[in-house]
Amino acid sequence: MVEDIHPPHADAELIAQAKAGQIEAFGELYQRYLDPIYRYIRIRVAEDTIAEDLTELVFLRAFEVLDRYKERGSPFSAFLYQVARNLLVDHYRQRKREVPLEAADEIAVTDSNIDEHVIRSARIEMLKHALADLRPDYQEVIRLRVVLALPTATVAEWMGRSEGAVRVLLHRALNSMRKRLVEGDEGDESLRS
Amino acid sequence: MNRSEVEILDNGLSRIQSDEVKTEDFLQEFPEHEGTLGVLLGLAEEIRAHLTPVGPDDDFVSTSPARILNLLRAKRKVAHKRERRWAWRPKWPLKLAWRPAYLLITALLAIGILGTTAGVAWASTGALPGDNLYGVKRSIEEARLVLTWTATGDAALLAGFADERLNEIEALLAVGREDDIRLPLAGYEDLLTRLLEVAEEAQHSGKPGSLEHLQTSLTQNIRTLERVQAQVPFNAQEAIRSAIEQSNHGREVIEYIRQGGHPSDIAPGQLKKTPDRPSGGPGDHGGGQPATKTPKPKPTKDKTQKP
Repeated sequence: MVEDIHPPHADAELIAQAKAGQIEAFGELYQRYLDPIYRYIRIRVAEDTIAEDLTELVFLRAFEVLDRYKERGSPFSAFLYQVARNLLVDHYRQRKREVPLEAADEIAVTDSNIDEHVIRSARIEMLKHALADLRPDYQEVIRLRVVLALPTATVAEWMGRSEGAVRVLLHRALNSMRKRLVEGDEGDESLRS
Repeated sequence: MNRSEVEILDNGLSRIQSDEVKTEDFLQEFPEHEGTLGVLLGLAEEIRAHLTPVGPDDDFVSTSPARILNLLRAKRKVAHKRERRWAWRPKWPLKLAWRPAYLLITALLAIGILGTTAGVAWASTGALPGDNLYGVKRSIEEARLVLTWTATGDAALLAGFADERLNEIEALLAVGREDDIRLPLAGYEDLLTRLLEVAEEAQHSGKPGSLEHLQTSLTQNIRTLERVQAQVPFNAQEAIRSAIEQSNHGREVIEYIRQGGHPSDIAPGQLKKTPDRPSGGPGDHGGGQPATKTPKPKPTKDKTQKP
């Protein structure tokens, strides 16, 4: 997935052609960024079909506003990410609920052993709740840097921060999540005792 | 947290995610940070293992690009069609109408139209019966009458227009167009009738001496008609004589009104018309015997008056 993020100079010519009206050039860009954008959206919504619809909508919207994109050190992927975030906000506003990671564990679980599946599901639930309790920027850096495994440079461009700031943010986000998980484990133990 | 630990964590995460190194091998490179980094890298690995979503479905990957491109092509076709449909419309913003160039053009057009209208009106002032602009001239006179609000104004205009009819007759005779004098002559008599209709109201509402001015004007008109009578052919002289008689009658009616009488009190024929007789010398202004003495106004109806 990391190698799917192309360097900016590789996209410049395609973007210029797409701006000139060559739809096929935009199709090439679509195929390049379909996977990371889909995965980002998929961890924020409940179902595959919703993720597919929103993914297509991201690129349709991106084409409409392509004239606004100016390559000033910001890669095309960051532009798509912003479009995706805005669409997700609209999506949540319409549905009035946020289901960021509820279905992810259902897809990731492939264990045939039912006991292991139950334990795994419980652990997933804990991770999900711990992540949801974090600050929004902590949640976002974990989604992008850890879940999607995007490079630090890409995460920095998408979030509009420096790479150093992203590293610090990641360190703090993981520490914060660790504390919540520990507190959750201690709470469970106190209940058992 | 120190700066090196932050950078080591990020570096380790990148190398582990790219399968360059395993977590335990990486931690052995930094034994001083093994405790803290081990926990954080372990958590990151667990998060990724449990929460990473599956990629897009193969069917979606194969069909979605074509679907998107077809949709974009369809939208572009609709947009082009819309542009062609409205291509003829000038894309002028409303505020363009206020640009100096357009204001100047509008002003020039307005001036041109007004100037043309004024020019036609001016050119019509010298028009004679039978000329193309004579109708414009008469229309302008009627418009001026409509625009006056007082009886005095009406009376003055009517007297002036009557004078103009006689001027036209003289002008026609000067150019040998005797056949065209019947129209202005008829117009003169019509104006005289209308003048007498407003004379009483002008006496009561107008400026003092307005009727005296009308009498003077009629006296001059009679002189003009007598002059014309000597120039017209024999078959037109009867018409001129009739106009002279009517002018005399008008002068008498105005005198009656000046003395406080009402034209409605005058029975037809009571104000004796001047008898037919050849035109006399300078002293003969009525074309006959001097006008009979006008009866004094009586408060009650005179039974001797016959309808």
